[in-house]
Amino acid sequence: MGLANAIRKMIDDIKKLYESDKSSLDPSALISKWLGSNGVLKSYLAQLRNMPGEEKKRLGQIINEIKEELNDLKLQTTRQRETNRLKVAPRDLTYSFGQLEPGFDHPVSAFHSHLARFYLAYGFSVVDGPEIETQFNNFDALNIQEHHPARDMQDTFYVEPVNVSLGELQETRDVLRTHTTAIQARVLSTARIPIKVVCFGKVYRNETEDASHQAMFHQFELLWVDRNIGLPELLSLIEESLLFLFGDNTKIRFVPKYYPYTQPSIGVQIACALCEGVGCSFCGGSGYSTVGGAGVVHPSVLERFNFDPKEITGLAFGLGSSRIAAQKAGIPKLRSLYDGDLRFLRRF
Amino acid sequence: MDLINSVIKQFIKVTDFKALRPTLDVLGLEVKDYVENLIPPGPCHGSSGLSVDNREEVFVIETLANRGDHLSQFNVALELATKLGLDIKDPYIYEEEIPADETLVSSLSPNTLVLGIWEIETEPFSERDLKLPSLHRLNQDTHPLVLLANYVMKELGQPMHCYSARRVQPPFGAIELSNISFTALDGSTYSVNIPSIFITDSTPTSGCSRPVALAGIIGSDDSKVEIGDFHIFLESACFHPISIRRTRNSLGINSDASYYFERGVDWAIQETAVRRFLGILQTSGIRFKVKRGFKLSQNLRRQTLTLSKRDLLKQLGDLGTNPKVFDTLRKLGFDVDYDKFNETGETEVRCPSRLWFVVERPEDVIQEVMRFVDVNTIKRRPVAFKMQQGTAPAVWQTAESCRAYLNAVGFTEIITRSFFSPRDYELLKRLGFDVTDIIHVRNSCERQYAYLKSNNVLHITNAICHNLNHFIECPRVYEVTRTYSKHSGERELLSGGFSFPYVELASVRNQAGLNLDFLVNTVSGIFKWLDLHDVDLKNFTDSFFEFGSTVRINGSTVARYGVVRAEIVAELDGKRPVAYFEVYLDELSKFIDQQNKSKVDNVPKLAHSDYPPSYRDLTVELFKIVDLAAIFADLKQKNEFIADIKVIDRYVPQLSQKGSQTEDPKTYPGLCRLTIRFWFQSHERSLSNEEIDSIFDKIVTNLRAQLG
Repeated sequence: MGLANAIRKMIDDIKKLYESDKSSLDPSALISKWLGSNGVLKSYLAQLRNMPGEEKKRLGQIINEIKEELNDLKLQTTRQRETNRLKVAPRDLTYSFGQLEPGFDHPVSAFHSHLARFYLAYGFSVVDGPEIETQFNNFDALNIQEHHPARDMQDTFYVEPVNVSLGELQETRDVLRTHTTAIQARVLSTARIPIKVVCFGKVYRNETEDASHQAMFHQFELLWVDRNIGLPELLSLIEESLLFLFGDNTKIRFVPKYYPYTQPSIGVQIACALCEGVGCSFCGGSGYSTVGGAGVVHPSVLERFNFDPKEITGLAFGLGSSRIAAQKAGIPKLRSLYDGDLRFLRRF
Repeated sequence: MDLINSVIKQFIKVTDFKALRPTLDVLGLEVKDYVENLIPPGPCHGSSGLSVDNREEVFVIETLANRGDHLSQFNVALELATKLGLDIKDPYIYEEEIPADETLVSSLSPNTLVLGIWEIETEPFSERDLKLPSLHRLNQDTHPLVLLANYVMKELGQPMHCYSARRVQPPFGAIELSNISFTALDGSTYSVNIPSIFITDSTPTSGCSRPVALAGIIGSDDSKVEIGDFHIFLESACFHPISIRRTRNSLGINSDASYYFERGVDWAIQETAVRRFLGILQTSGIRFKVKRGFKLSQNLRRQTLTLSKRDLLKQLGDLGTNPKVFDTLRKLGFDVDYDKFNETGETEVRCPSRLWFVVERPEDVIQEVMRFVDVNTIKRRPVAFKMQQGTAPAVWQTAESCRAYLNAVGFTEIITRSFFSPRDYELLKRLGFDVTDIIHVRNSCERQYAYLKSNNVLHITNAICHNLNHFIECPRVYEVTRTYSKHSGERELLSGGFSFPYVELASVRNQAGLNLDFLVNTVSGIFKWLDLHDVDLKNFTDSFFEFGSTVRINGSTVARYGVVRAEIVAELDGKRPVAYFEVYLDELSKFIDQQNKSKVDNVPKLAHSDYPPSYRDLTVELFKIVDLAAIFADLKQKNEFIADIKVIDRYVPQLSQKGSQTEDPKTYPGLCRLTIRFWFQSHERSLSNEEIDSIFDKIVTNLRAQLG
């Protein structure tokens, strides 16, 4: 018998042996016999080294297939065993559940509640909106035109059309809201002046997730629409709220920014906790870190909802609340906020 | 954008480049980084002439999405000069008359604002002969003429493109084409399916003009300049940003040129940029011949707006009407008349061409003024409110109340992601759940990203298992979150769960009894806390739960709870059974009395001490049925230092023979032996052993009297 025939026979033998073991042995015995330290596969693997190219490939393929199947079986068996253990485990009916320590709010919720108390006292109402938003409310109503570079600032998640048979176009698909500013469109389309609302919620951006960037995070948004108000009132309100949040000695700075839905637009910065505004390696030398954005609502946005921008002014202010909550709680990485790990969260 | 010291100092006198940082911040040019010594010493620097050495200072600046003008070093220098009151020096340009050649440019498409073609023939030279102030971020492997064009783009903000005169045939035109295939100079072939602007030449081809560049984005492979080409056509043009972006997006190409055009390039700078190009050739001693062909759109004119005193006062206070503001505007290239403004309360403002994509309304001019007066100096107007408390939606208030209650009974809030991971999705499919209801999410590149969670069972169970695996003894968590499904849309719910340790007890009959009483207590506690007493329970079992119950008020399901099925816990690597509950906040809010719904401030605070606890164990033998819970409560009430009482072991001899037990786990039937652990703790100090022993003795005496 030639070498090729011998190898072919060996391959047939493996298959037959495996099939017969599969039908006769229970899973754990099968795994132990074939995958164990002195298992069948190991002995065949040893022989594999001396084989010529084509046969080696074929036998290797067969061994790999069996190995994969057995590994799956091993996983299933382990899970089944675990399941059975959980099902039949004796339970302690007498456990008194005592010695309870109080639980805690999540740092983001605690921050939102804190901020809500401030604004409720100032006469602002809390509003909420859906996280699955129309493109109109999220972009177009807010003066963020399609194909404007501003849309790059907020890379978007698109929700697959609910009714695919309708053949909806991509442009009409809903999105996961990229900012809580989307609530502005909802409020402006229904409310009458004076409008004084705040909104807290989750927002979504198509970001590559790492320790400090998340595809889902939280924002806070304020909208105040009325007569005879302007940037000086907005600056005053922001300063008061930030001093309430961060303490009376906090240094606050405003810098010009660009947001399509506000003009003039400003960035809100607070002094670095370490160097207090002087500049250090922690804050990249700037001395300040940006905590939010604000501005006077763009006249195009007001006009879209039939407000006369000559008479009526809108003021808007937003904060990235996840980042601030993490900073306040001393959590170094944004990701730790959303891991549900009590070792982190119980500390605060 | 990189702001380069050696380039900037051609235009303004800067003694300490690093000291510019605060001014850049105030102007909204946020500095992300400052770097020195970027360019390593190399052969190209020694002979490149002017001021290039191996020391370079660079600010890495984050420019704003609409500010194409800030991509020009000269424009930033102009703003710095205006802000700091410095003189600005224009870049050296070639000033000789350039002969016009009308045959170089043929047509303009609607979205092309300017198309200029310069035919330039130079003597051969290398990049070493060019006297450039900086080579920072310039690709020195390219043709020296392309290198020079790239330098001018960074200096003045005008992208330019070189075509080899050997390979193209004037006249050139800008035409909108679609549904054609285009091979770009990066070697890739693109199918352009949407109407896009192409630069075409007159090389005879079948049927139509030959595209030699995808306008404002990338040139074609068959028109590119190669080594040895010193006879070129230089394109300096301006295209509408939206048109460029639409094409670039549809093809997924990124280029330096498109980055500039998308943000708006000055429509009046094309000739200046070419003259700067020629100026550098001239200073470098390179001889050349040049001809010019130029066409611009009929509609180009500087934007004129009306700026009113009322608007300036409203947004900027007194600062806005200061005459210095008008000087600043003039320095920046705006045409304004302060005297007219002062007399009539408004004036017309003609805006510089470089801001055509930025300034469209009077508010945009106010933004420019605000940048230069420094927003921090605007005088604040105190916010005058009628102090009237705002309102919050019922769901929000209900959530706040529940949150306060759950914290008090030992639950910690977590926030999990809104997505099912692919692993979760596969698990649901494998377990036979209906996944057709799950909403899929794609990213902007049309790639499947994730699935929105349609329930929170997996997330809560996962969090509990994760914490158990990290040695948290009794994880108790909850979350106020939303679920998303095709049929129900978004739903606001409060969900939570826990897992407690169990001990090996040979004689326990009711295997499902685990934690159920705590689960029931927790859920019923929420309803009691919210003053909702009239609730119905209905048992159920489904693919997620065993021993499940739904809670109903007036026929509406407001909550449900149960023990998570062992299969799911095992799949999530859990080692202990998990109890889960969820409360539908939107439904529940309908039944809550408006007066009572916010109890946040009155929640009973759970005693928590910073001082260490101690314990004593006591084994007792019971000869009669007793209500242990009542006895324990009585003991706790009598002594403030008893923090907790826990049964840690139980022995029931011949329990099965008696057959008379009750299902109530709080009442112990018949003869049995219990080991009870008493925890002692003070809120003010550490208790001494003597104190604890004394209390413990009293407890023993008390129990002996009660139990006999």
